[in-house]
Amino acid sequence: MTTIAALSPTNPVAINPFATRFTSPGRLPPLDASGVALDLEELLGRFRHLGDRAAIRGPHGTGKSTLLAAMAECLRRDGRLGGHARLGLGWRRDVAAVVAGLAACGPGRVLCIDSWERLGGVAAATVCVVARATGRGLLVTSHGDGPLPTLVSCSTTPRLLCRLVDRLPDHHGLLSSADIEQAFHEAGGNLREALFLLYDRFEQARTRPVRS
Amino acid sequence: MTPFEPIIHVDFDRPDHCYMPGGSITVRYEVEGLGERPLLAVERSLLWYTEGKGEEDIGVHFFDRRSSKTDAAKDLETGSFTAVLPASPLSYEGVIVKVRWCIRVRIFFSSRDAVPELLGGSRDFVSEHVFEVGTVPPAALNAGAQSA
Amino acid sequence: MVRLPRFFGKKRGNRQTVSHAWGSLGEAVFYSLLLLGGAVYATVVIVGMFWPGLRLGLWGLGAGGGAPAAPTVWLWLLNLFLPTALLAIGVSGIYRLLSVLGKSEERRAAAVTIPDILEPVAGSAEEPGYPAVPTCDNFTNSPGTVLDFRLPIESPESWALLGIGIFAVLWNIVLVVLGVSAGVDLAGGRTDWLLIALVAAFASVGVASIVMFVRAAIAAARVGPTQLEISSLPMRPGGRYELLLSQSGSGTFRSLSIALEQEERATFRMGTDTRTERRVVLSREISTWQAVELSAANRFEARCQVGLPTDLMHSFTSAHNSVDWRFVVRGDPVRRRAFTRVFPVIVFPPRMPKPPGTARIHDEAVER
Repeated sequence: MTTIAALSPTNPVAINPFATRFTSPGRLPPLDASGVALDLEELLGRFRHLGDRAAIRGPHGTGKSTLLAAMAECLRRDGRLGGHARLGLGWRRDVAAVVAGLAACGPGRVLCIDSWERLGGVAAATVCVVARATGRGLLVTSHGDGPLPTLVSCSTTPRLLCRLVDRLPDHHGLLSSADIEQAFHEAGGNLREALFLLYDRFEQARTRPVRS
Repeated sequence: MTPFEPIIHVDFDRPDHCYMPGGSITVRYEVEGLGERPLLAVERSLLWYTEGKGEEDIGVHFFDRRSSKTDAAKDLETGSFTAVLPASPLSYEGVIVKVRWCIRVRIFFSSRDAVPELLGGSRDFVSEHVFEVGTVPPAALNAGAQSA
Repeated sequence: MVRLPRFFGKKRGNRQTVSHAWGSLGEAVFYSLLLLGGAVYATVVIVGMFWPGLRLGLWGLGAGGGAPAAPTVWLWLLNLFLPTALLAIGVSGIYRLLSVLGKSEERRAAAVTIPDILEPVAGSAEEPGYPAVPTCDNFTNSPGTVLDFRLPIESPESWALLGIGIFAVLWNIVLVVLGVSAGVDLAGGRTDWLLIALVAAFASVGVASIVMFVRAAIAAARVGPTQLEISSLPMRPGGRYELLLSQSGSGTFRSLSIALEQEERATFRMGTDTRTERRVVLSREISTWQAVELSAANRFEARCQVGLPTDLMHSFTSAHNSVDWRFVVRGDPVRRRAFTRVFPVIVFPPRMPKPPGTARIHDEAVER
């Protein structure tokens, strides 16, 4: 019978900093591959130069949704955000959200769409045509190539993961830089998977009571 | 202008914040740092949520909303409530699933336009205070076979 | 001043959520259009049926009215089904939207009282009086032969067998339809080589699926069914329960064991990814039997007891997370593959001095 790590919520070690409530998109700031905060103003200028229609591309777990959330916030602040749709709730609801976003989005404003692939080829092409014809902007996240020009190609490095971990709740020194780097390589550069691996490492690192 | 950060103090009737299912819990809260900014409403809730590797689920056991239309400003800024805790779920420190109970106090402001520096443009502010229900010990990380 | 809803709302403190205002508006438009379409469609269908002289020209609704001709029966049924479906989806969608409109996360969660047919919650039904504890109804409706209840089985082999069986049946139905079409063509003197090639390709997969199913069924039959009975349900922390394990089949088992396991399940959904992880956090061996001899006339039966600790976690279920309890029977037959049979059980929280009601909230005592 052992008792060590306190269950009490007043003990901060009981909180795993890699739980999804801390790591979900929108809870962390967008960083570039070297771990430096992205210059959102510069990105917004480039987006405007591309005609207000572009895609943030990259494989799974490279920070596309996080960057989109941050850019949407900047657009909102500038009064240019026409809508922010997060797809993935089923095709019917996804289409409904995009149709509503386009309808509510005034000319010259930008509709942000996360997980653009969920729309499917025909619906996505239709949205592109409608947006162009009516003067609406589109900023989307996408895994692969498509008709929209690329604004940013997201990629990851171990250093980026270290910088993200620095911004999460304290892990109380239970993880080393080597642990973080190892998680990065085990996850093949997928930050989301790496954070899940670090969740497990944290659980292993802290001492846990055992049932008697 | 300095960012506006209200503070919500919550006091539990048990100093260890540990309660038993079926027992009662009394919570007193106080909102500070509002200055002259009026509150539109206050929502007090007693709920459990999950934390871990899955998406966050919540279950609300008690919810109450007080509005400036029906209550005086002072009654919105300070208050207390008592609830009888349900039989379940118990607080649980699992490996990939954790169940936590908390008090949430969410305050709403009457006019964002009048105070544009408020909370980065948001109209509400929420404060969360965790407590425990039951005495379930943490789950073991490695489930070695044990004899019954 | 009327304020438009925001697309993206940052909430300070330790929470951050997204405004659903525009999504709700879009859904309202979407469901209203479905409702409108359904109403118009239904009107046209009804008018076409009762006033055929109007010649609305719908599929399957002949201008002459009355019973539809045989080839157009399915079109006639389609005309009945489509407006009904549109109306049902539209009404239910708008009803659901109205029930959550403009409410905070806690307020919406507190108000969940109606089943959401469009977006059902993944978790099981709750036991009354025990929030987030799955119901025990499915476990107490099957009496045992010796002890009080027979537990339902959830064996991976059975599910695999069922899956292969369903696939084989569906695939071979398609094969028969294609085969009959090809046969009719050939009998009529026409040779559709494309159809014949398709039938040949389908036939190879169909035969393979039947072979797989038969092999899996034979393997399952050799091991024989496993039954587990328990002295009382639901289980509770601190309780002691008697178990009766019976195993049919033939041959020798190197070992047969039964254990109690606690498993956590967490599902995370983000964009195109859905990730479900399971973790066994407690495995408690109850009993093991070595060198078990089975025959058709002599099935294995053994009793054992299990006691639950007083402080264990009860069964828990929510939309994306759960804590599950189960008995696991593992067999290791000689010259056959080892097998696992799973018997889920529900563990309730400890009894309380007085039964809990719903949210019994004492009245507010606001400081005045």
